[in-house]
Amino acid sequence: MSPLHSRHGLGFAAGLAAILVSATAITAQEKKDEEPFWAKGRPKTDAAMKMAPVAAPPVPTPADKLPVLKAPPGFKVEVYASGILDARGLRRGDKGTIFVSSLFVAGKIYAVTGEKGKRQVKTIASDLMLPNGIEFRGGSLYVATPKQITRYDKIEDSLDKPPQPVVVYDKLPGDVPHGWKFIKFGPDGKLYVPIGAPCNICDPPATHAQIFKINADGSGVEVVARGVRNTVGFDFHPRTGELWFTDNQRDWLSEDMPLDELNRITKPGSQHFGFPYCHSGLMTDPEFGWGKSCDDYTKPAALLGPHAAPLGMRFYTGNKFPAKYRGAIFIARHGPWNRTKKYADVSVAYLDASGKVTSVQPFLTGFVKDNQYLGRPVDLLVMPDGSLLVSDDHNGAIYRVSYGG
Amino acid sequence: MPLLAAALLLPSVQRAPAASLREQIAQCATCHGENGQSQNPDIPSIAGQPKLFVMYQLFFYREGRRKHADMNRIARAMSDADLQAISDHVASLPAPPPATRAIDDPARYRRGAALAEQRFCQSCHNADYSGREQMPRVAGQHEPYLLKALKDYRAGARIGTQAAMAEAVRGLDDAGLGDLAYFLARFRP
Ligand code: HEC
Ligand code: HEC
Repeated sequence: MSPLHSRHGLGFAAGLAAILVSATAITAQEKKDEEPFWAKGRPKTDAAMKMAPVAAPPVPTPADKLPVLKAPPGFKVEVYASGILDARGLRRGDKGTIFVSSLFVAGKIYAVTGEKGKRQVKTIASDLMLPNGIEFRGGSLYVATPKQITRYDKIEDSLDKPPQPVVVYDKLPGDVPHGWKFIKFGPDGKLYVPIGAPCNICDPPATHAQIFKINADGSGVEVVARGVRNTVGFDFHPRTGELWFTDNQRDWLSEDMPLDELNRITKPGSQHFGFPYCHSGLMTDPEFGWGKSCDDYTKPAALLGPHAAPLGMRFYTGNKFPAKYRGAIFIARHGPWNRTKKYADVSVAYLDASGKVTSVQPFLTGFVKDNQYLGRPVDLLVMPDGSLLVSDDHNGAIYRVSYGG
Repeated sequence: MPLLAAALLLPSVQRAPAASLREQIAQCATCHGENGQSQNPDIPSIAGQPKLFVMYQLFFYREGRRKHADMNRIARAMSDADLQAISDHVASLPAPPPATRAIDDPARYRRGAALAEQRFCQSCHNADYSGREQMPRVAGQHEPYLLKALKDYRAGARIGTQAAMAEAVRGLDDAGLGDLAYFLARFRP
């Protein structure tokens, strides 16, 4: 069964699985006489007729209006920077610049510099198409849009007059749905790049629903994983180097299914994580799952909640948080839209020595009040001083979580 | 005193815009029609659209992320505060009356309705397509404009908030988009 059992509404998968076994026993003949596939799970109540992505106004929230977030005792939460419209991906340059990407609203890349009290936010690139993916290595900032990956060399020396970007890779399909990126260099020096499914649910072409890797110059494409619907966050295990990723499952099936996934790649290039045939390792898709079995696909390492929208995730590699957090995975749950009951937080997945997830627990909370989003966490960054930065695209802010004095 | 006078002169406007905004708002009528109800089928009616939707569109035009020469020029002059005030104003204008265009091709209307149901259009745009938050009213909008908007989303020329529309129109051909525009322009609750 799923390794994830917590009090947070995430641990009900076992009961659901039992229900689903009987649901999938419907024969093909019965299916023919049912409603058309698309009507399955179609909202039929007033509540469900009012589901839509949640948008904050296109202006950042002033620092004094930001939500008051809660972390476990001993932790301190403060505002690291505000006024960063649509703040999404976080990366740190060698010289300490915090680079911030954005997505639907701003289309910008920002650089945050300076110490507390003198912190400055500069826009270093504008009018980009969904520039969610960023990465920093060897003095260069990499920026990924649905179409291409570019590189800004020696960027930290020229934040006020950024260089012309160099094209690294321009053979991405460019789809809008799930075309935006999360990118990261692995311990093997390769750049890992996902191509999401170009749809909510469809049988995607082989070019899509995968993660691949390339050399830093864009050459040598190798597929790393298949059956990945839309990952917007991954990280490499600090000891084993294994790639772990969050994956967002399909919409419109029901309030409580499917459950979004945390996945672990143990055999690069030969694992299929189920999309579009099997969701959450638990249920075959009502349209594409006929004749398929969840046993044929790699099961999730943990389940992260219905429509949770898990985005950024990071192994905690600092040494300032208490021992139980070291080597654990912090996961930003951006929170559902395709669900009437909202939730959002930064959760922690704890791993045992063999790398199995033993539990997932909420860590940073206070993002939801009266079923409304007050903020929505997107990406995480472990700082050299052991603190954790958390971006919030709803408010255009970055928080800093530290432990002790 | 001048502010009060302005408020009295604009009885149909619930919250009178500051004097500095009046000029900006006055020019909208030349294209979007008296009180935001457009007579030109290529220009959308904007009256009574949800405030957040209007604010986002003006923001996208200002930032050059939605392209239209006139609207880009007009929006570039707007500060964040202007965006707030102007979208407040547009949202406060009475929405156009329900569509009365003849349903001269009932089969087409039904095809459009079925497609809209299949693609969950109402979940975001409301059961009566009146819109809310960042989602526009599409019921009764001009048909040629609706068709252009749907094509823009399909082509990725317009992405919009949360890229929600790219998924909604994915894989539809011109006939499908045409049916949707036909249906919405004539929508009867
Ligand atoms: C010169 C003509 C012109 C003027 C003046 C003008 N508009 Fe527009 N506006 C248009 C056209 C044409 C479009 C549709 C363009 C497109 O397809 O992107 C549009 C689109 C819009 C939209 C998006 C509507 C939608 O349904 O997506 C808004 C909001 C808007 N205008 C508000 C305003 C406001 C407010 C003003 C006055 C401050 C104004 N416009 C002045 C021509 C004009
Ligand atoms: C998941 C939510 C969602 C669904 C489903 C959805 N829409 Fe939209 N729609 C939006 C949003 C948000 C916008 C505004 C996007 C922007 O900023 O440009 C929009 C904009 C539009 C517009 C542009 C109107 C204008 O005035 O510019 C049209 C037309 C439209 N939708 C039609 C449809 C149709 C037809 C469907 C079903 C096939 C549909 N929508 C399904 C969220 C949705």
